[in-house]
Amino acid sequence: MPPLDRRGFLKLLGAAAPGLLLPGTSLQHGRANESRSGVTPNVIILVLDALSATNMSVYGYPRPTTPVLEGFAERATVYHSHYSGGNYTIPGVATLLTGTYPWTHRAINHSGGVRRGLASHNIFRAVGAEVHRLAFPQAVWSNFAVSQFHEDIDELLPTSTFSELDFLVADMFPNDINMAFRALDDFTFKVKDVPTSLVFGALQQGLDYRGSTHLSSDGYPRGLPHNVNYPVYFRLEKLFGGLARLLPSLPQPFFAYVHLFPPHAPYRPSRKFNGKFFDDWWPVNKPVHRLSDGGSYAKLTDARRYYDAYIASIDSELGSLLASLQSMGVLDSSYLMITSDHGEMFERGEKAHNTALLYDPVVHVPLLVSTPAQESRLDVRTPTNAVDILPTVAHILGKATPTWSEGTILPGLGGVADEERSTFSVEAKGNPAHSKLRKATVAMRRGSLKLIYYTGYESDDAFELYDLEADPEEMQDLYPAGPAVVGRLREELMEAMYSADALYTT
Amino acid sequence: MNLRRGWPTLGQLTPVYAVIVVLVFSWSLYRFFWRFPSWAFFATAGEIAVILAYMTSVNVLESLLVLLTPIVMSVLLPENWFHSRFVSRSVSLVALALAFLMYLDSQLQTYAPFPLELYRAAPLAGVAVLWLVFVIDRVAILRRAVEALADRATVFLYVSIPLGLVAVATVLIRNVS
Repeated sequence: MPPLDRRGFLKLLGAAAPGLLLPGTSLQHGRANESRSGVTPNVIILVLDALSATNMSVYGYPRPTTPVLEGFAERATVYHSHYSGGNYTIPGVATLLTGTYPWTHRAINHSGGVRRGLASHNIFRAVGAEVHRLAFPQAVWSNFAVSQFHEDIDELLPTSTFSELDFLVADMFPNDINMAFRALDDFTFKVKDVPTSLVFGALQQGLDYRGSTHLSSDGYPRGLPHNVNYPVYFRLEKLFGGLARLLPSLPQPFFAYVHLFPPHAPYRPSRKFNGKFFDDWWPVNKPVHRLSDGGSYAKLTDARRYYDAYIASIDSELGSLLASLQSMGVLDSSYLMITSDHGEMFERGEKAHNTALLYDPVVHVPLLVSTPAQESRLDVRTPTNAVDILPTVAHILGKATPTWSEGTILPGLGGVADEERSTFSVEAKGNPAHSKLRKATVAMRRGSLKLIYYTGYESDDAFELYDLEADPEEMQDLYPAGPAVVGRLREELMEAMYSADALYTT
Repeated sequence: MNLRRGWPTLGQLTPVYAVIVVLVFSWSLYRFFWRFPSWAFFATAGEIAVILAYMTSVNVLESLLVLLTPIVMSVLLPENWFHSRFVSRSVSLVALALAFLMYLDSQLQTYAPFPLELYRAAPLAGVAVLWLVFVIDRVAILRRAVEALADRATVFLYVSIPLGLVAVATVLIRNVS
């Protein structure tokens, strides 16, 4: 570490002072570069799809899946209890980009979108046109939300950018990209499904098959990474290498939302990491949940090995990207937020995230934020949620928190840790977006407690309660014992849900 | 080669195009209504109508492309081989070819292996289709049935052509900057 000069010491002191008053954090960074140097900083949000904090060594996972991020964390703010808004991409991304919960934005169904009339409530508009706003929805599903906001985005990179092969067509309709994407790529030309277009569909799927089988998968023993159910094939090194060239070239100041598909299934680790976790470590064997698919422990554990290896692969590529951004000076003028839209689970009979369950592996996501030239680590243990990203980014860029946002500025980045605050994750893919929530799962996190509410799946509603501090694996359901706090938590959850439902008559 | 002599008249093209439209549009509509309950969960009526507009525009394009096949054959082949009985031969050709595509498309399921054998069999299927076209053409009752069906299918053009035009106009208007 270089010796601290007078200016550096004053900066550190200035940044540390408010942190001493802030519960839950050891240090708080002031607002952005702007207040110190008069220069508006850049903000980069890097979303890695389906990355569960539970499987990352930077959050204590026994397998060394994220050594690079462990190094990065030494100069970043690490949020230990950060939650996604939902358990799959559509609600997860919509929550992050609108600063509202799924029961408000209503992007709750497969292929669903943010409620008509709320599309102006988005992070790109919130940060203002003073910054260059870039979005790169490399994960195809993030397009459902991102393309709804295309009028507020200065540069919308096609999903196929930095890919080896793709057959997406919506990019040819930039002025109507959201509907073109829904109508063409997600329906008329959707691959690996019966084609809607009798002639072109058969042709496209034939070309997709031919192209993908002729692609070199050198270095990827399980095949090239690709977007599941959409014809986009890519190599991790090219993807991250492309970002390393792209980000320094953007007009400053910029706000970049980069949503990458890996480590979403199919898990395609590079050769170096493919067999890395065929080890003797075994995760806790949890009882099969009644709402799960009932997958066997052995099968889930095997899938987990490849998922972990894929994370390690991505972590390695991330290392090259971070080194490049560091050497180009981008990190000295940028806030970099690394997070995910939802997690992934390999327990209780459930694989991946297409589930009604909201246990931590599927909603506890990473959030690591490095501020310009940050040199020390901050740990925030207060629960936070994806709804907090929008107010925080707005704050960093000198904007007020929009009145419609349900989030607060993140502790450590200008916000105050509030142990009494409750945050929510909502799963309701089986519920119509236009109706009250009758078939849904809601997880409420408050302090160390997590209350899970299931409604509409069985004849009776059900609750579970866990104390994550004492029981991070969520094995001891405290709800049946009925501790005193249960009534208050249940009332709060139901009230939040009913209040969000008030808009709907049916 | 006199290309103009092999060019079919509007009266010949109409029943052929009608058969193509019936097959291409109805296949897509079947898929549309299969997906409709999913959209009803979250999309507005307007959004569903826009999806229908995009789908129909694609149908217009592919139906015209399919129509090109018998036209090209009529222009390039000796008159007696194709042009002399353009309607029956074209209708048999496109109907059989599209039927093969329907079977092929129905095998492209999410969790099923890719039907590579069917793709590989496409040239063979093409030969079989040409042979069947020849057979149908030789059997008078079949030929007359094909022509009669094609003639009756033209009624669908009164719906599909305006629908297609509205769909293409919708897509164009939405994409004008």
